[in-house]
Amino acid sequence: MSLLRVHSLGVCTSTWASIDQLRNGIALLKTQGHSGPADSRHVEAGPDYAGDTAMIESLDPVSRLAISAITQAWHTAHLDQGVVPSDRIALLLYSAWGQVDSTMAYLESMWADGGRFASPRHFSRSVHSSPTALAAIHFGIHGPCQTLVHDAWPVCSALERADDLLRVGQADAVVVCWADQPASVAVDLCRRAARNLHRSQFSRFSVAPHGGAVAAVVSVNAAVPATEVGVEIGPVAAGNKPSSTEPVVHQGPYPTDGALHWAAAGVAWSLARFRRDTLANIAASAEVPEYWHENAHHGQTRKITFFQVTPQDPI
Amino acid sequence: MNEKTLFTPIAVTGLSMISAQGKSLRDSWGGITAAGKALRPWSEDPSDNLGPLLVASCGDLPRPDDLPATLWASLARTQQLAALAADEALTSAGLPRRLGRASQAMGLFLATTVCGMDKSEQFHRQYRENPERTDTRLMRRIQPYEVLAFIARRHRLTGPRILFLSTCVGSAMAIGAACDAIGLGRVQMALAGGTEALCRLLLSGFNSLRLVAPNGCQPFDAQRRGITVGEGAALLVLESPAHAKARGAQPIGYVRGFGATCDAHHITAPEPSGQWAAAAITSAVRESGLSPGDIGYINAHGTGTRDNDAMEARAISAAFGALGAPVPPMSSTKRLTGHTFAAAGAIEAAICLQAMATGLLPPNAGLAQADVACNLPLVLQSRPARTNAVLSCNFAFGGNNTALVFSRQVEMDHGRPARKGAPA
Repeated sequence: MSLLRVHSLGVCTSTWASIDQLRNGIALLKTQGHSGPADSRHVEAGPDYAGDTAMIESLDPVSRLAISAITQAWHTAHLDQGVVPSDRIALLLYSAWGQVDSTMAYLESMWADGGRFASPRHFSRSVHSSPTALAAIHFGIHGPCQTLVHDAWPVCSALERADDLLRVGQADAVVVCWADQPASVAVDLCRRAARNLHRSQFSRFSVAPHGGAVAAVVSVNAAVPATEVGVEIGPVAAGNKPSSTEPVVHQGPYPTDGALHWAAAGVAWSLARFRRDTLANIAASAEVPEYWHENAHHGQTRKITFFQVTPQDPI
Repeated sequence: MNEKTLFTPIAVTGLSMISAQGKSLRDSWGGITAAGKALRPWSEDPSDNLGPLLVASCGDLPRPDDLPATLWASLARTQQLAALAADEALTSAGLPRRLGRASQAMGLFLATTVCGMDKSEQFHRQYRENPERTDTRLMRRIQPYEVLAFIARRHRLTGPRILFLSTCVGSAMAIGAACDAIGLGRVQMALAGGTEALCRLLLSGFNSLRLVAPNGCQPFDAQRRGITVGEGAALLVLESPAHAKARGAQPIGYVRGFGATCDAHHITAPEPSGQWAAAAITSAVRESGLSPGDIGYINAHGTGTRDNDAMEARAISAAFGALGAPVPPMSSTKRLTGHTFAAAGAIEAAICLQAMATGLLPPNAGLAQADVACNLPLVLQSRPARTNAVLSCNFAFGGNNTALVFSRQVEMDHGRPARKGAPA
């Protein structure tokens, strides 16, 4: 069982340029039935808070989204103030598809003109771990930096890996990021697969050409001063579902703006909603308040529990 | 702050290797120690601009008897290589192909870089010709996680699993993560390693970066010109020593330390001083609790590029200088296996374990004239040497550095430092 502190969060999608916008969007959704108009300009150009606009614009979409989301989490957790040495910070980046645009661009250059003008720039950006490398360079992270994929439980898997790194002493803080871009070719592929494969999960996608990223700074101690919530990840188990009386954050209605990595949007939704809506209630009960279970996989589900913590609470 | 703790020794009870030298651990090891010539041109097609480049291919792969021919043909080559490696690793660990009740206690930690790129290339050609007439069945092989899911499905592994896409350090990271999970009690056993297949994108990509040696790589040579692209797979069965003992498994060796750092310097070039690579090495050796003098062999990353080899020489010299021990005999085996990227960490871990088990150090093949600037004690030809502990180094695209320490016995923990805090 993993038990972690989530110190800070960051979000960047075409619907929400930041975690605050996400929270406002959730409030709007409750009162007005929608989460506000999408504005993709910050996804194309990089949000203002991401800093060096020219640098951000020059990145491939996954790196741009990931660095934008991490920037918010990084600053909120005061990692920019050196509260944790750079070699004691780890980075875990989950991306289901990687840099589809760069890969397609490289393949184009590889086939065209007999491959004589294959683009080294697109090749280096096509590598699945390039957003992790760019983020490590951007934030000066010298601890373990890993690029990961999981077929069923990307959020649980990432948080468990973070927990392992912290508990074996490889890091004092872990930046976890989930990022994906539904590039046009992947979207086309999914749509046709959904037509052809009747029961495909991809039939659920509502696709827009942007994607999204979510980042969190986690640790197991109070080395990082800011603290949002604690999170507990349950084991893989059949029938590990919330009972009918327990409050549940459903995956269904959140407006993910088409991010293929629905799990990333799910965890942001859960954490953001938790803080906004239930923190006061939880403070009174200190009981497990929220469940969020990811997509069932081979008849098994996983449970993530969010709860309030203060910097003094042991985890 | 969390304190770095001594690494919990993890037993290696099963091992496999598929490489250009052979389709089994035994054949691969035989070829490596004999410095077998395994490189061949990428293509005989004179119109192919990549054709004359030498690569390290595993050739035709034998289909396991439990997989139907149609399924086998539909798999990405990374999946085929992983399937063969998984079979050999499980067999050598005395485990059945289907683990039954034990499947929940077995974690799966795999690494690849190209995933199903052979299928992606096929899909992309179809897409270029007519986006409406692509084969959607290819989609399953294109998704990166399918490599992981296929092995989990085939062996009915329901424990934790992760796919590492961290290029050349991927499988070293997978082995490190598997050891963490076993040490923390998250799983009892793990199948960990990497798989990588030759594909046009990889060869063309490194050629576009002008990093492919036209006549094969020459690690640490004064005239080295780049890498040789290779393919292969290796998997380790890992478990706690107590678990291995309880089921009567005989350990091949033990994982004793793991270090990982990031240069945060450049997306393709290593940080020239090698300070972060040295930090990964010192961290792994110190975590192991072994005396640095116990390390009897280093399998170097040694890709054959000018930048990597120069950086690695500085890093190893600096690390052993800081540890207060001479640099032990070392070699890069990339000329023999090719650079197998995400599989390299596991293939070289298998080479290290074989070196300890057989008492034979593999050669640094391809060396004509050693680069005096590197100044390393390279093993020029296979030679006998009894080693009790070995070190495997890997460095990757994006500045990732890893080091793994293995020992022959779990008991040889003399000289354990009562260490506090982060490594120097």
